[in-house]
Parts: sequence; structure tokens; C-alpha cells
Amino acid sequence: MSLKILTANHLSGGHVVFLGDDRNWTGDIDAALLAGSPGEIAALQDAGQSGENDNIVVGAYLIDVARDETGKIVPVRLRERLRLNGPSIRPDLGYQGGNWHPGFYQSLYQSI
Amino acid sequence: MDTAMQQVNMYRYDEFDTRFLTERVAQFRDQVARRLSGELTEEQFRPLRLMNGVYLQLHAYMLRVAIPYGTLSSMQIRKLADIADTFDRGYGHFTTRQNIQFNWPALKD
Repeated sequence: MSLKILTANHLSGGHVVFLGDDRNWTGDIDAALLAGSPGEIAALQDAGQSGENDNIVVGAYLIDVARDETGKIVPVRLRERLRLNGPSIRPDLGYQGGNWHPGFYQSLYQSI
Repeated sequence: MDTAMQQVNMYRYDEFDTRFLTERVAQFRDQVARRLSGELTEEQFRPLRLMNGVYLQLHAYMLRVAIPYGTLSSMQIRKLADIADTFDRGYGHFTTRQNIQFNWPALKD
């Protein structure tokens, strides 16, 4: 059974978000709502559409995920792993580097 | 400011330039507000933001700022640095096209 989660960009902040267990949008992939069956997948897509309609996120789409050897959820495609972990070149300038401007933290707490 | 510019023999904005920029900025500010409120959909907003150098990329929005003739006064570059500190992650990216790009701005900013 292939697992999928829904990802998007936060409309106001621009950062990568996932649809969470509680149907809110979170930056934490471990809290992402997993879908396996067609019904669950359709429900994810509906939630993505309503997130876009409510102007919380932009560009919601499904991605394939799998569990790694420790059981953690990781995206299958390299593109999505880069989106999750930040740039692989100059990580000091990416998500991983910290030093976020105040607006970023604000947008995280606004609607997540 | 004018004196410093004259000494360096830099390009200066004339009245037309200044007025055009002011109007364009006001127009885009309004478009962004309407996007955030939902009055504009992403499909409607996309061509507008692209005309103003706002791209939505893998990790975040990206703002491309065009630098006329690739020339900056000290004052201008300090202001760009302030913007990077306040609204981005403390750095800017100078491109091969002599633009500067900010890689992590928030749309609302």
C-alpha cells in the first residue's frame, strides 16, 4: 500500500507545510495525515482544496512517502526530501541554518 | 544623497522614474493585499506577482530586485542589507544578471 501525504506552501509565509492529523497545516512531517486508500486520498485532496479556498495555503499536492528503517515517514522523491530538509547546497543559508526573520515565525503561528 | 550620487556619476531617477515606481509599488501592494484576503485567486495573482519579481519556489517565495546598470551606492546597498536582516535571513543573492534576490521573504511583507 503506497502512502501519501498532502503538501503545500503557506500562502502568507511561503514555507513548506503538510496537512496534519488534526486537519491543520504543520511544518512537521511526523504530524502529517497519512492516506493509503483511495477514499483517504480523496479526503486529503478535498482538505487541500479547502486550504486553498480559505487562503491558508497555495499549490497543495499529494506526495508519496514511505517509512525508513527507523519507522520515520520520509518522502520518496528527492525533490520532496529537499523541500522538507532545505537546500542541499549551502545549508547554512537554508531552513537548517536558523536566523529566521520575525515574519516567518509569525506566519508559522498564525494558522498552523 | 544627491550630492553623493553626483560625485559618483551614477544613474539618478528622474521625476518620471520616481512617479512610475511609486505607482507600481502601490499597485502591487494592493494586489498582494487582495491575494491574502482571497479576493484574488492564485491563478489571477500569479501573472501579477511574476511581473513584480515575486516567484514561488521549492522552499519559499523569492523576490528578485532589478538593479539599474548593476550599480549601487553605499546607501542603497546598506538599505538592501537592512531589508535582508528584517525580512529575510540576513543575506541576498547577487545574480549573473546583476539583480539581487531574496530567497525567503514572506508574501505579507
